[in-house]
Amino acid sequence: MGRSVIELAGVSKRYRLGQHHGSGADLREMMSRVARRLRPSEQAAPDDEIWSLRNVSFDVTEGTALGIIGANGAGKSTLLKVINNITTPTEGTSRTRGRIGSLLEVGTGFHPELTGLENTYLNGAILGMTRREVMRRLDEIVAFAGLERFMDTPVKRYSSGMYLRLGFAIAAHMEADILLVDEVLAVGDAEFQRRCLGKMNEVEHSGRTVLFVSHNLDALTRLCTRSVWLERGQVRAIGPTSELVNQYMRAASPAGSRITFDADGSLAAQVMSLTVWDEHDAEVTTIGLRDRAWVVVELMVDEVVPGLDVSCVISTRTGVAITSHLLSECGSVSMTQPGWYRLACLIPSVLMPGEFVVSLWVGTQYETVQQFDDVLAFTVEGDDEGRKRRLVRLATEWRAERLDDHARGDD
Amino acid sequence: MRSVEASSRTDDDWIVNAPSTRWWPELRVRQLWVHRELVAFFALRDLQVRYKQAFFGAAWAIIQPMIGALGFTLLFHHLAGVDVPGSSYFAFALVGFGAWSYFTGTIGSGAGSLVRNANLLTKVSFPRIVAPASSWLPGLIDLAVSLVLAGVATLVAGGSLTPIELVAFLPFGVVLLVVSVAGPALFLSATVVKYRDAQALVSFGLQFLLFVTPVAYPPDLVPVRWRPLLYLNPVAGAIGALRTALVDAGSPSGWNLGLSCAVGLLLFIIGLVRFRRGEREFADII
Repeated sequence: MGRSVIELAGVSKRYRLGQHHGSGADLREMMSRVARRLRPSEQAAPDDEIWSLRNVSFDVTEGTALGIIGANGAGKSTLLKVINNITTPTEGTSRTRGRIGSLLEVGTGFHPELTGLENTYLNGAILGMTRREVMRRLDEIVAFAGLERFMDTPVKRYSSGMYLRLGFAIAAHMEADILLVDEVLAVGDAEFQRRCLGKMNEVEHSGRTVLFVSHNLDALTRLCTRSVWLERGQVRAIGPTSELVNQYMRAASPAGSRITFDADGSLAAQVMSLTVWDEHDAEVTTIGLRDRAWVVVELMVDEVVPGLDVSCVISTRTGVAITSHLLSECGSVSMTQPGWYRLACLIPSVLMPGEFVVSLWVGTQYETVQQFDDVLAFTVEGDDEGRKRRLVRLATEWRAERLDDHARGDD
Repeated sequence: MRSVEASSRTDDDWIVNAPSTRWWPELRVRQLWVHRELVAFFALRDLQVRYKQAFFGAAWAIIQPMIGALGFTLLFHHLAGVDVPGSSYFAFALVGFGAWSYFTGTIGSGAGSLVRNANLLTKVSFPRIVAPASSWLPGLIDLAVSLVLAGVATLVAGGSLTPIELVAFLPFGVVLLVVSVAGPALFLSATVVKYRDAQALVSFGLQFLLFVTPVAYPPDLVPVRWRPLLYLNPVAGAIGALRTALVDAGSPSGWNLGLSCAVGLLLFIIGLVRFRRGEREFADII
């Protein structure tokens, strides 16, 4: 075990909501406070505080990659801001050792009028690099960003992709001991994302520390061995990422076997309920390996919508879509009259044991009427026969032919 | 080593980020020197931006003080009859206009410096003082141009420049001017973060200050016994020192100069304390 480079001890952060976040107030507020004091019957101002972090404590040892997971508003970004010294905790202490690099919001501080080169020096300086350091790594930065021909162009003429690539390249080439990463992978094309992941791996293998916040649980599991799970500002659990991701996803998705929706009169077609049925038409949350089961949708059609179609997507908890099926592809059903319809989509019996989620889309070629992402979960149970991490098992076959009766090396 | 300055430092190279318990903040003036490169980069950015896509470009730095001083000369010298014995009024006005433009321009950009860089402040960890500090620099170029023009105007009008006075009073005057701007600018930048209307107050205050600063008139117009009141304004001392160096028009007494320096320094410390006390909150309330 290396020495620790980040130590958080009882860190809490309070924000005030509303217009004035600070401790003071404006003239109007001051006057109304005086008025309130004159009339004691009136209640005190409502408590408009929010604790974005509450008593967070953990240590990070040198050279590890730590993931941070949690729903929106769980305090992930605030945590990174505290560690990065951007904001001061209201209570508790955050201590860090070494230079901190951050891939939060890359490209912040670019000036649109300045050229790529000028911005590289400026941004490098803002991130804490010396001029000499930027000069030494300039070729690498430019090559990584792939902007050799555009360094003398003002960045206001850059596309958003170029902007992002330059920002990331500068931040990634800073010699940081601790690297903070927040959702950069959500942007950029696939090739660039691959390079980013590679860069982060490289940073980790060089003995530096990475803190990675992402909703991309797949990438998180690959990069980080351990993770912290934040919930409403508090640490809910710390442990191996794969375990934590499983727990997190189970907690984040509905447990019930049936989802119902309230009618919204404004829609022409409206999903009323969504369930999973087994072969005997019983509502279930667990199906056996190779069992036939159905995703059952009840749909209320108030007005006939020409070309109305329904699509059902089955994906993993980590967001990898496995199958999707359009109602119109099956050809047989059509909703040419108003009424209450029950549609059932067969879950292909190829899924390996694990947890899956269902998304549903209702619409036409031109518009989306309703869409529900990851709205229903079900589990496939059974023996995976030692094939871990496979999502599906599909029938396939091998062929073997003998091409020659001599062994190769003989002649 | 940059972020070390973001909070206090302990023996073991730890950077500590925790709520402050002290009433009197550490002033950490040295931070300005440690991060001089970043200060310069910020200043350079503002200069570069100013001259991009500009028609007059650098010529503006000459045109502006010439027109300003010409206006002063017409208005105060020819119409109002203000005279400066022993010197060309035009040279006298050039120093006053140059110093006053530096003062007002830098107070304004200094006050808004944190708000202008709000997105950096909330997303990147860099020493906050760099933003206001960098706004003290770009105006120095225009000031230098005005001062050179004033020297030339003195020579053209048949006056003379004494090397000793130049070496002694020119740097002194410039430093005093920068310090007198820096304090209020620091104070205002931290205040504008919270109350944006502080900036409107600034331009109002500056208009008033113009009347009580010997920019267009010589301090001799004020009776000797009231003159220290004039020099309570450190800008008056700075302009006096600059005129001593570049214009043959008498110089402020040592006492009065000392008074300006003391007030300037006091304002600087007040501004810095205000800034340091607010610093930790900037990212949360901006």
